[in-house]
Amino acid sequence: MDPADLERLLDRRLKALPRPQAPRTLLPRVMAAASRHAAPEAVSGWSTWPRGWRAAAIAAALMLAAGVSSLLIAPPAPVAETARTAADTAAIMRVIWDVLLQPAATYLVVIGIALTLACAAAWAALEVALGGASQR
Amino acid sequence: MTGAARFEAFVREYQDMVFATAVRLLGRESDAEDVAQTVFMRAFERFAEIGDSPSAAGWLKTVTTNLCLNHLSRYRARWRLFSEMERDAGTPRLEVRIARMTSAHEDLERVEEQERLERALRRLPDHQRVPLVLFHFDELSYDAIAETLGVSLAKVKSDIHRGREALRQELSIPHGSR
Repeated sequence: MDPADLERLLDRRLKALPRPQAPRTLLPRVMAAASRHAAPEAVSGWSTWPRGWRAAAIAAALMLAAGVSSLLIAPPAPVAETARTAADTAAIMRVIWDVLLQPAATYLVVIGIALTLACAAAWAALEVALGGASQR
Repeated sequence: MTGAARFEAFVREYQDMVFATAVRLLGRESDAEDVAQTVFMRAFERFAEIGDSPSAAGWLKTVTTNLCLNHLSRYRARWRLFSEMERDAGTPRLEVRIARMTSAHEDLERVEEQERLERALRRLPDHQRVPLVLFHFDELSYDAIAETLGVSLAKVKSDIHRGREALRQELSIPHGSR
């Protein structure tokens, strides 16, 4: 047989082959793997947003940056006052933690663990006692 | 429709096409299923872009072909080792096709011949089956196949010729048959 004839013959027969069907296990496998990932909407990146949304996001980011920088450079009086108050409160909280709470923290943790273990032991003993009673 | 339901419908629509492409390039159903899953996970990651795109089928076919070629180059040694043992795995289903037949005897013969051809195709060595599939199913030119596989044009022609000869012998096509 001429190679060109063989090519035509096989081409016809190969193209007439029924398409192999995907095994029934493929769809559940893919869906299980997909569910382990995020939802499609959640994984779409910024680059996939519509152009208008991207422009709005850039504008919002620029406005936020401008606002933050203006606050840092020349904060208004109420903001500066609030920041000072917050810093003072944080300093007071830190002193209270260092002086009062931190030394007692270790003891509190140990007591907590001991109480938990005691409760667990008591619960187990109660279960054994009640279980034994019900079996009798 | 939720995102998950849309994606499920997408997989249902294209799973046969992706699987058929993969199984003909790889020759093994288990590998084809693994590759098909990877293809759909790639699609899932870009579902916002390709979910409703008219070029989704083309994108899936290209990704499937590329992943299959990567798979073959990565696992070629292992494939050759195990291929002899697993040659007869994955017999296509007869029942569905037989139901559609008008003349049972002739059509059964035709189905048997198709199955023989499908099996013979899958049994060909990688270097013959892959260019043959790209030529006859994907309708790539010899040049495009040579470029895709990174081999010379002469090798593509010779491998395809040998593959066709092997199929001819498997199908007992006499030299004078048309």
